Amino acid sequence: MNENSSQEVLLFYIVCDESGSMGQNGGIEAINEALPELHATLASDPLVVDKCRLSIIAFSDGAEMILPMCKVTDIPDMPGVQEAGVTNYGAAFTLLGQAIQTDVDGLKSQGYRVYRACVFFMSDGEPTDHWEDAYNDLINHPYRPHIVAFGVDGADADILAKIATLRCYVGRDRASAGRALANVMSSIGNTIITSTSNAHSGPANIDLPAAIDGFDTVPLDHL
Amino acid sequence: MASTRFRSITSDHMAWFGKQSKDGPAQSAPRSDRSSAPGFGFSDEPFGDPDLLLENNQSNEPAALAARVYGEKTTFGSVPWWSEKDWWKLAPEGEANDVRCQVGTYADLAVAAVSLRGNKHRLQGAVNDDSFAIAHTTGDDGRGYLLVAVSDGMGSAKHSSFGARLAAQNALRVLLKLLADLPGNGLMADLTEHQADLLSWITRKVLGYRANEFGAPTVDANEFDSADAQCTLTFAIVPTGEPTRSREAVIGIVGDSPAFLVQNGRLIPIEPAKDLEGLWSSSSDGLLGATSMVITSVELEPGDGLLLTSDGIGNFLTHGDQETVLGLDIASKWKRPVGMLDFIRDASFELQSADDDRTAVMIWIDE
Repeated sequence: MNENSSQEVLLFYIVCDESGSMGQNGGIEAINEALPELHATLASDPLVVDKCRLSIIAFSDGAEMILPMCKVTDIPDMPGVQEAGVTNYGAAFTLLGQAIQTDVDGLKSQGYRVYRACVFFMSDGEPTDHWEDAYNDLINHPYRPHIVAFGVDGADADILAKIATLRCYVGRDRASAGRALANVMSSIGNTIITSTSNAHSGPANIDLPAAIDGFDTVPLDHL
Repeated sequence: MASTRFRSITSDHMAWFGKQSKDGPAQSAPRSDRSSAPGFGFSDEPFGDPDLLLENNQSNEPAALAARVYGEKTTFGSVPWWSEKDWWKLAPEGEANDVRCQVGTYADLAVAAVSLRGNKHRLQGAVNDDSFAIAHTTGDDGRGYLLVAVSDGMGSAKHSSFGARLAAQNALRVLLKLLADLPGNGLMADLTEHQADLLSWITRKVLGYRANEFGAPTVDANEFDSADAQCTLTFAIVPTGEPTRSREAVIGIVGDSPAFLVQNGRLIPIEPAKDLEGLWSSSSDGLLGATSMVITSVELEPGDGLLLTSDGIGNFLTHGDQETVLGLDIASKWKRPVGMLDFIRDASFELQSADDDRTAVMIWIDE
């Protein structure tokens, strides 16, 4: 692009739990089936193609950037998540904070006007680490993102409600994590599309669904 | 595939107009009639080039007006008239206002105004929710005033198109009354003193509609939430050049519709741009219910121009304190009056993420 063009850009990060339990409850399979569908949905929207950037982080024992920030049409094949170890939230928040800093600074240096990033954080369990310091570093940074949290299969609603800054959805049925995650991915696609076309409305610029099938919306009492 | 009925705009045509083809950047247009004709007025072709008028031909060109591309071509702009994607949607209720334009002169002032439906509203099958209004009056002392207003309906408001149209029109009505009735302590002083009353009057007029009037919400006004018609307002009052050629234009702003001084081929924002050190936010003050506004003035010399815009175009003209490539191009092209189709085409630039409705009102001072 031309430098100093003042183009607008919205950044979306999907942060997926790929701990061992996600394999046992069908979550890994559901995410891997849903990601290509999400890609196809996003790539078919001309405003999303031009105005959005997408990134995916997977975490378990550690965190890994499985899709660095890019336009959806620059993704030849969506990556997948792989069942691994425990549920280390802190590693995910640390990598997320580093990625947001790098991505925002890089885009700004190219002359983009960058909206506050939106993170879709999904997990099926309780964290196995001391994640609070890493979270506080993320949330106290000038580039702090909006965070939408999704919990399935017995995830700790209280913890996810502490992590979320915009909204927290927790699945009602522990037995159907796979189907629940498919609904989550569909909601993420809709949220990205509607937020992109309504980027000129509202301070958060994120249009979340009022409800997701099979999920309760948990109050964010820390706000 | 049905045959198209519009002439294909070839790269040769685009080069003649200094537009960019798909294969490369635009070159300077070797065209002498782009600037104003001798004396004062529009170019020799006030309605643009006759070669670009509609005629029967085969074409699978995009439905958009061929316009200069800045950076990568937009995804939306690559779609032909008939496409399985069905992106270019008419609004079900009509009055999409893909293009609304006015050009003309008043005393030593010339005006070109255009409002264009943005790609996001084409994709949604929604209407253009920008609007503008233009009026002029002559005072008891014989001095004339040109008044222009730009209003941008806020994206989250269901009836923002209606709100913006009424806001722009009623803003000029109340400003005309202000010019006629007030003792003449100076426009700035009068506006500052009466701004709350003026804004309240506009709000009442916008919300005092009758259900099912042309374009009005179908619910009773008493049951209507003003947030559903919320919009911005930027207006300018520009005196004509008597008795001196220099003059002070007064500008009022509620919200984020930017205004610029166009001087010597440069764009100078009337209000400071948002801080770009941090992150961008599109949050904006709304006109309806507002009790105060930014009131400022700008000194206009012969040859200067004043540009009022909605953020769909104004946000892309400058970045921080600097003009963008597009901004420099617009400032150069609109240094002097241009033909109507040229003005529309210039405002129809292709730039990724510039998908909102666009409105530009340009006022030129005779040299």
